[in-house]
Amino acid sequence: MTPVFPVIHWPYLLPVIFVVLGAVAVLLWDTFFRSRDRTFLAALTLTTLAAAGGATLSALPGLPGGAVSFGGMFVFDRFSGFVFILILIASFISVLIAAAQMSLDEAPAGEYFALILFATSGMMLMAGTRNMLMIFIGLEILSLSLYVLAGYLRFDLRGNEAALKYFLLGSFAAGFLLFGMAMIYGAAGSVDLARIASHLHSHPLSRNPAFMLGLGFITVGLGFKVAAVPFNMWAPDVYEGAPTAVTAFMSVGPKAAAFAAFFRIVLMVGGYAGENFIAVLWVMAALTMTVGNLVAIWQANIKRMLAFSSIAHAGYILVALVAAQRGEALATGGFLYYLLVYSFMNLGAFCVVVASGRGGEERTRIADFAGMGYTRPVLAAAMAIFMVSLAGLPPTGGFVAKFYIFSAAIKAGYVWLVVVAVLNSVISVYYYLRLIVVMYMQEPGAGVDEGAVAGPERVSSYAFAALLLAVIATLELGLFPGAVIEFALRSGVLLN
Amino acid sequence: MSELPLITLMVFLPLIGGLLLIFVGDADEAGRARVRAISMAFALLTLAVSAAVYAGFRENFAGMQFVERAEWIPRFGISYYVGLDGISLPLILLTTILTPIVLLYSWGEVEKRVRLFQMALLFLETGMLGVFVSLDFFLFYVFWEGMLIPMYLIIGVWGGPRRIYAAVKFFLYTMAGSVLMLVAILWLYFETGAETFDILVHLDKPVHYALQGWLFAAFALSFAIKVPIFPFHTWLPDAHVEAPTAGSVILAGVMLKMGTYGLMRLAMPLFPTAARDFAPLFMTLAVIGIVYGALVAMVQDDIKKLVAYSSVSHLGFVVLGLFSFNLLGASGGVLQMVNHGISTGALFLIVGMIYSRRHTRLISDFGGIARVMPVFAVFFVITSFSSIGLPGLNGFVGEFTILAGAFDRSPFFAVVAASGVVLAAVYMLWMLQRVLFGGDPSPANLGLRDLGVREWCVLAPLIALMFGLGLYPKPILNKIEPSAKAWVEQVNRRVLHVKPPPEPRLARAPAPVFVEARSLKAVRP
Repeated sequence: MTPVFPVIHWPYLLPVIFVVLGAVAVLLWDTFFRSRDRTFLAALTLTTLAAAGGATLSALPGLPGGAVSFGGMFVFDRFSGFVFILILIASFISVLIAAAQMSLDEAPAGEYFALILFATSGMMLMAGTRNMLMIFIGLEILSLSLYVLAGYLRFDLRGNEAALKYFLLGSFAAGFLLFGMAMIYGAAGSVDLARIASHLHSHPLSRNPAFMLGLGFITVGLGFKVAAVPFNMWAPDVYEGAPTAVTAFMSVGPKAAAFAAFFRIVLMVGGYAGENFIAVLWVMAALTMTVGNLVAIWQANIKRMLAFSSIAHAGYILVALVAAQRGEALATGGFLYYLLVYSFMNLGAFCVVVASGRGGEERTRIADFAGMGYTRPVLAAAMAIFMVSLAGLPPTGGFVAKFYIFSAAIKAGYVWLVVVAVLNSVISVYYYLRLIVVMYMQEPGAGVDEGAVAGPERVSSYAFAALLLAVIATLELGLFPGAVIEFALRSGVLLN
Repeated sequence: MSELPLITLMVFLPLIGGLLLIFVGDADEAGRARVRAISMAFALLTLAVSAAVYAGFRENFAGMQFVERAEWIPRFGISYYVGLDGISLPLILLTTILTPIVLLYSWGEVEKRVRLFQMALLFLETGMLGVFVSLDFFLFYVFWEGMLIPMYLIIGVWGGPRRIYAAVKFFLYTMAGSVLMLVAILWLYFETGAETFDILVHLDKPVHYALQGWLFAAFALSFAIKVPIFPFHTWLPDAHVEAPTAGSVILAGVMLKMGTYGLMRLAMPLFPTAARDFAPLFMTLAVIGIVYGALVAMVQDDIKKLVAYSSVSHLGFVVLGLFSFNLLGASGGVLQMVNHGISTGALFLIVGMIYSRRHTRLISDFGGIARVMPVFAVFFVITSFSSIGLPGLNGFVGEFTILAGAFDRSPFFAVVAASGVVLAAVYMLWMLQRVLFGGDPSPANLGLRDLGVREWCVLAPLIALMFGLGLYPKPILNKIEPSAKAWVEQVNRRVLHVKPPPEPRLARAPAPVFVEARSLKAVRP
C-alpha cells in the first residue's frame, strides 16, 4: 500500500496561517524591541486580523461548496467562512478594546496581543474542521490562551482567582469532551464527523449507550464552553474577575467558536440521535434562557450582569440549535446572523464599560452609571443602543436576529419553545432597561457636575473606533439586514 | 395618486427633525429656543403633509390609498409597505394635530433636558404614524415596539415621583403582550405558506379555523393590554399619573388608540371567525370596563387619576362598538377614538395647566376657581361636556353611534353601556362642581393667573375641533364610512374550513449526500 498524501488547499488555509504568523511576529517583535509603545503592536495585530479577514473574503466567492484539506482536518466551506469572518471581527474589536483599557498599561502588551491571536487561530480551527480531534485541539489552543489572559493582571487577586477557576473547571470540561469523543469513536469507529454520519446512516446507534453517552459528554463539554445552564457556574466569576477587555473577548469569540463546532456536530451526527437528544437540547435551551435572565436581574455589577446576559443569549442560540437539529435550514442561517449581531452589541457594551472608567480606575457597579446620559452623553447613547439591541427591540440588530431565530424555530414546529424565548426577552428587558433608567432617569452621583462635563467627551481613539464600528453595525443589521441575512442563509449550508 | 411619497415624508419628517436636534446644543436659553423652534417646525411640516394627504384622500373608496412599496428583506417577504384608508386617516390626523400642540404646551413646562424631550416626542410621532400606516407585519411590529422607547423615556425622565416604577411597568406590560403577537405573526406566516408579511394578503386569506382561536388570542391580548381592556388596565393609572402632561396627552390621545386600531386592523379581520366566537367575552369586558372605569373615576381625589380612569371607560365604548360587528359600531368606534383623543387630550392639558400653577392635583385643594380663572373655567367646562358626550359636541356623535350599533347586536350590553354615559356625567360634573364652583376660592387659590397666550393657543384648536366634529361630523364620517363598510364585510366572513392535513415531517436530519445516493439505489426496484 502506497502512502497517500492528503489534499491540501493552501489558499483556504491562508486566514489561519496569517493569524498564526501574525501572533509569532507580535511575540518576536515584543521580545527583541522591548518598547513601551503599544501602538505599533496593536497596529500589527489589527493588520494581521484584517489580512486574515481579507483572505477569507477573497476565498469565499467561487467556493465550490467547500474544500477539504488534510483529509477532513481542515474544512473550508461557507459555514467556516462566515464563522471565520465573525471571529476575526470579534477579535479585531477586542484588540481595540484592549488597547483602550487603561489598566493594561502596566502589563506587557506584546504577549497580550499574541495570546489573542493564538486564541483566534484556535477558534478558527474549531470552526473549520469536521474532525473531532481537531475540534479538541482548537479548543485547547483557545483555552490555554484564555486561561492566561484571564489572569493577565498578575497582581490582581480577583483576576488570579478567575484564571484559576476557569482553568480548573475548563480542564474538567475538556476531559468530558475528550471522553465523549472517545466513546463515539468506540461506537462509530471514526473521529471524522462525515464518516461517523455515514456509519450511523447504515448502522443506527440511537440506542447504543456508548454513542448516546458520548454525545451527552460532548454536549457537556461544549455546553461548558458556551456557558449553557447547568454548566454556567464559572462564567459570572470569571467574567467579573478577568480584565474587562478580556471578558469582552471571552464573551464573544470563544462562544462563537464553540457554538460553530456544536452546530457542526449536531448537524452532521445529531440527527441520528433521535428525539431524546432533541428533548435534552430543548430543556437546555429553555433553562439557559430562563436562568440567565432571571439571575441577571439581581446583579449589581455590570460585568456580572453582562455575564448572565451572555448566558441567556447562549440560550437563544440553543433555540436555533434545536431547530437546526430538526433539519431546518433557516436555523443555521439564523444562528450565524445572531452570533454576528451578538458580537457587535456585546463587545460594544463591554467597550462602554472600559471607556467609562476614569483615570485607570474601572467603574463596574451599575450604580456608577447614574446620570451618565448627561455627564457622558455619547457613551451613554451608545450603551443605550447596545442595551436596546441586547433586549431584542427594534430597530436594532438584536431584534432582527431574534426574529430570524424564532421564525426558524416556529417553522420547525417549536412554538412553545419560542413562547418561552419571547417571555424571556420580556424578562431581559427589565435589566437591560435598568441601565437606561440609571443612565437617564437618575441624577449623576455626588461630585460630578453636569454642566462642567457637558463639553467634548474624552474617549480614547481606540475605544471610539470600536464603538463606532459596533454602533453602526448594530443599527445597520437592524435597519437594512437584507444582504447579511442572505449571506448568512447561504453560509448555513454545510459541507458534508 | 400624487407624485410625492407623501406617507413616507409624513412618517419620517419628525424622525429627521429629531436627529437634527442632536447637533443643536441646549445648554443656554438661546439653544433651548432653537431646539424648540426646530422641533415645532418639523411637527408643523408633518401636520402640513398630513393635511395634504387629507385633501387628496379619495372618498367613496374603501381600499388603501397613497400606497408605497419597496423591497426590504426580500428573503423573508418583508417589504416597506405603507398606505392608509378611512380607518387610519382620522387617527393619523389626530396624531399630527396633537403633536405640535403638546410641543407648544411643553415650552412652558419642560425646562430640563429640553433637547432630549423634544427628540423623544418627535421619535414618538414617527413611531405612532408608522403604526397607523404600516401594511407589513414586520414594519408594523418595528414601529409598534420602537415607539415604546421614547415613551418610556418621557415617563421615566420627566415624570412624577414614582416615574421609574410607572415607566418600567408600562414597558413590561406592553412588551409582554406584543412578544406573543410576534409569535403569532410568525406562526401565521408559516402556517399559511404565503411566505409574505404583507398584511393585505393575509387579510384576504384568513387562516383555517382550527388555528384562529390561538392566533386571535395572542393578537388580542397584545392589543387589549394597550387599549387597555379591563382587567389589563392596571398599568394605565400609574403611567398616566406619573407621566408629564405631554406624555399623558400623547398616551391617552394616540397610544391607547393603537390598541383599538390593532384590534380593528389586524386581530378581528385576520381571524374573523374566532373574533366572533370571542365577541361575547370582549363585549362583557368592554361594559365591565365602561362601568368599572366610571365608578373608580368617581371616587378619585386626584383629577389626573380621574381623567385616567375615564379613559378606561371611554375606550370600553370603542371596544363595544367594534365587537358589534356592524357599520354603526365600527364607524362610531373610529369616531370615538378620535373624539377621546381630542377631549381627553384637552383634559390632560387642562389638568397640567392647573398643576403647574398650584403643584397639586387634589380636587379638595380647589374650589371656586371659576371666579379666579374665568377663561380657564369655560375651557374646562366645554372639554368636560365633550368628554361626557353632550349633544352638539364631538363626544356625543361617537357614543351615540356606538350605542346604536351595540343595541342592534345586543340590547342588554347597550343598556348597561348607556349607564356608563350617565356615570360619566356624574363624575365629571361632580368634579367640575368641586373644582370650579363650590363656594369661595381658598386663599391659596386667589392669586392664580388665568390662561396665558400660549395656553390659549394650546387649547383653542382642540375646542374648535370639539365643536366642529360635534356639529358637522359629515366630512370625516364620509371618509370613514366606505372603509368601515368594507371592514364590516371582512369581519363577517365565514371561515370554517378545517386544517389541511399536515405534511409528514422528517424525524432526522437529511443524510449526507454521498450516502443518499446509495440509499436511493437500494429503494429502486
